[in-house]
Amino acid sequence: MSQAEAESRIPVDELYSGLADIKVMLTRLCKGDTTQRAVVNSEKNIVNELKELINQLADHVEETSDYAHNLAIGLCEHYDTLNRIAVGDFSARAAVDSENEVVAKLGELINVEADTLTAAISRFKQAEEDNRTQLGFVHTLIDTIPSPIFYKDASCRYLGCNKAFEAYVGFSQAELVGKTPHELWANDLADRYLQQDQSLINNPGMQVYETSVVYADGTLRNVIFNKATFNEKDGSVGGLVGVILDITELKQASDALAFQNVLLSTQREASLDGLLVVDEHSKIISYNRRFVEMMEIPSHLLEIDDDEPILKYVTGRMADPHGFLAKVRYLYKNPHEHSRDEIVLGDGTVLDRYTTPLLSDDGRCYGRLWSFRDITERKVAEDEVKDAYQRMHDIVEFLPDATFVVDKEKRVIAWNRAIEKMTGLKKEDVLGRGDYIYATPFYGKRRPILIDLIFEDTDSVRQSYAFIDVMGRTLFAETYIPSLLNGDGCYLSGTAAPLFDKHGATVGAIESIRDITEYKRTVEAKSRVEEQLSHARMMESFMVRLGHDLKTPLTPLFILLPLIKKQLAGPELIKKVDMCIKSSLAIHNLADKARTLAMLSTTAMPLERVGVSLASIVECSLADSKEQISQKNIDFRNSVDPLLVVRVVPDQMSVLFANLISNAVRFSGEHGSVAVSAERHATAVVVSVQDSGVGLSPDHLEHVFEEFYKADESRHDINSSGLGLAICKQIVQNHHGRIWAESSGIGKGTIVTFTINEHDTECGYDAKESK
Amino acid sequence: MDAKVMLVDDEEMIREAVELFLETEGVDILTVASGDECLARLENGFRGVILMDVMMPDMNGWDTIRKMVERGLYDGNLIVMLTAMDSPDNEMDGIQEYVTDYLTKPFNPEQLLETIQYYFSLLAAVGGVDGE
Repeated sequence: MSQAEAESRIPVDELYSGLADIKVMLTRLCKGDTTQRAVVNSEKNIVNELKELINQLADHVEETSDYAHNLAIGLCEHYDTLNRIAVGDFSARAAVDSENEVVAKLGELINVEADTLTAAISRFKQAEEDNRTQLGFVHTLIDTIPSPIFYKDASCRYLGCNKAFEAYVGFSQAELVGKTPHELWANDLADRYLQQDQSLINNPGMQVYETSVVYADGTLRNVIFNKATFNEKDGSVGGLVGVILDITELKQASDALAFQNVLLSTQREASLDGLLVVDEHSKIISYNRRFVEMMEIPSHLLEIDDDEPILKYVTGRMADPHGFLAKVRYLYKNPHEHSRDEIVLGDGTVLDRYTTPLLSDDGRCYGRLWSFRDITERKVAEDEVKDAYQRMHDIVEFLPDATFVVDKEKRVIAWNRAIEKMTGLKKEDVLGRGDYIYATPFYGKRRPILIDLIFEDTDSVRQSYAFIDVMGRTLFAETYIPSLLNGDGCYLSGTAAPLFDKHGATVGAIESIRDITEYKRTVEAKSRVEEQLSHARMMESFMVRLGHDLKTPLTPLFILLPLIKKQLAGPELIKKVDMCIKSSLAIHNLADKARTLAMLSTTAMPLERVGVSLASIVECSLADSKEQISQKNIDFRNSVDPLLVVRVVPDQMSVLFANLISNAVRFSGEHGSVAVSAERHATAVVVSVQDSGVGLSPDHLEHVFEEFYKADESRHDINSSGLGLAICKQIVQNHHGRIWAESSGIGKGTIVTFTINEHDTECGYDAKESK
Repeated sequence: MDAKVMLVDDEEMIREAVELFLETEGVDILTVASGDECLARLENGFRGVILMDVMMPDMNGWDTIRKMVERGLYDGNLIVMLTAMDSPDNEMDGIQEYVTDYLTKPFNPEQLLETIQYYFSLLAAVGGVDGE
């Protein structure tokens, strides 16, 4: 290869290499790699190089034709000399050289020139061929570039374009070439193009701008225009080359990506959970503010670009750092595992730790997301609920009534001790079980019972109860179950109520069952007693009324019998009337005493106690017996300490003493003795009335305080009502005391003793002792 | 002699027995069966010892005394209540000052006669009733 050839090859190689670079760059651009930039003036260089190449080629061609021209002139000179010689002008001489030399010179010259010419022509042809090849290559190259490329002259007329540009504008290259924008597009668009183009032409160099354009297919596209001017040989601006880069998808993708990023970061920051993302090498990728707050990570740790101190700090905050680390290590070894657990910090904070791998669709693991939620309050609330539930459970457990609780699926969740005892069915056999298991001990089969009415009102269930009362949403029912208590039957009362959650929804129900068999029997017995009591009250009332009413018909007898007696003559008749008088007195006495006893027995009578001297009461009570005492010359002694004051109902105490003294005097013989004495003991005053009278047999001792009981000695005594000691007993009872009689036997006198309990304690009257 | 004793009692047997007894004792007695009759006799000018039963239908003894006082018929009379009760009842509240004495049924004839004669002499002493 000659030097000239070698020289001409250099720019071609450079051009080729430059174009190859351009192609690579354009291809990358087309693929969306916007980072690609050509060396600022590369396009211009390429064009310049191309032009220089063309110029060099043109120079070679000129040089070659100069050679040819010089040859032609030489030949012409020699031809002229030869022609003069041929016409006989032998004076004609070629300069210096002989003909031979001339010929030789000519030949040499011709050969040299011919060689030079041949070489030049050959070189030219080669260059022309190379040039054509390179231009074709460039055209092909430009056409294959997917981005639209166009070039215009300095007056902004199209010089050419590539296929992509044809597709973009919708015109073929043939239609475009030689046209200005205004000849192709609407004015506003053409103005815009022209303005930009002229701006570049006026300020040669590069022009890059982003705009939106409407493609021939009607779509609105975001594009980047890359334009550069190229120069003519004389250095003036020859025109411009433009490349359009469609960044619509890129922009959309980039916008979408930006949106996704904003969304993600907003979500991350808005999250109440602390979030930490690490890559597959456990390097921290991101974390949110909540994570920093939750773990109380000092800001200086965040500022340094090293994860290790942060992880160390977080680990150190754990109540159980080893357990925490062990779990973390395990999960790094098993990158595809999810995990959820609770961790406790040193300060007692409880965190719900959740972690999930970051997996792509094809299963590749990019790292791991850790999420921490502060559940301390929830834990506290849960613990409280647990405590409350335990308390409820304890309460239910120790309720004396047989009680069970079901959840809303009617599964037994509590079955207390009392119901275990009632039914013989143990907790472990019932808890957690549904399908009416609770009915089996009562009915021998699974069937709905009272508690089921809380969930659903069923007539068939209602009918199995004697009655059902409803108060609010609580149901009360009673039923009799013959099979219970080994077939003895059992009355049960049940109370069922719903259990609500805080929103008022029914979440279960509770039923308490009570064995009311005893109660029923007690009520029956009480009812019988009350009936008897009512009867007794009626009888008392009747006795009071009778005692009162007898006095009215007795009045005429009391008035008229003495009148009749006066008018009678003859002792027989007078004796008979006397008997009538005595009888009417006896009736009066009996009526009086019966009425007194009835009135003393009635509970309606108020017992107002006052402090009185016991000795004085004894004195006052003597009135009725004074006559008899003097008649019989009885030695009556009141040995009661005049200073002894007792709290009693004075009227009743008077009646008591009057009766006892009257009895003692009546049953004492002439010159007998009657003594009243009293002693104060710790809790009571003990009073005795002792006589030296007829005495009582042991048989009688037991009965003298009974109503209408008369000992033999007084059986026929018309003045004895048989109620005196019964009245005494009632009065002593009213004073919460006891009364009893003692006698050493017939003819050996009697001692009647009673106690007065001054304090209204329930010191009951003992029936046995009183006799 | 005009009657100086009036017995007010709804029980006919008592009225007749008292009349029979007092007649033999020479005491003139007027008997009426109700409070209304008693008041009518007082309107007609009766003044003397009034034996007043407590328990009577329609108007009892206490109410009759109240009416006597209200109508200005009390003055010149002495009232002895006849009661079957052992103790005075609550109904007499406020009017016991108008009652001079009580006789508890069944009273005996001597008691009755003594009471009447005693209050006769008392009335005679103050000039309300002519002495025998």
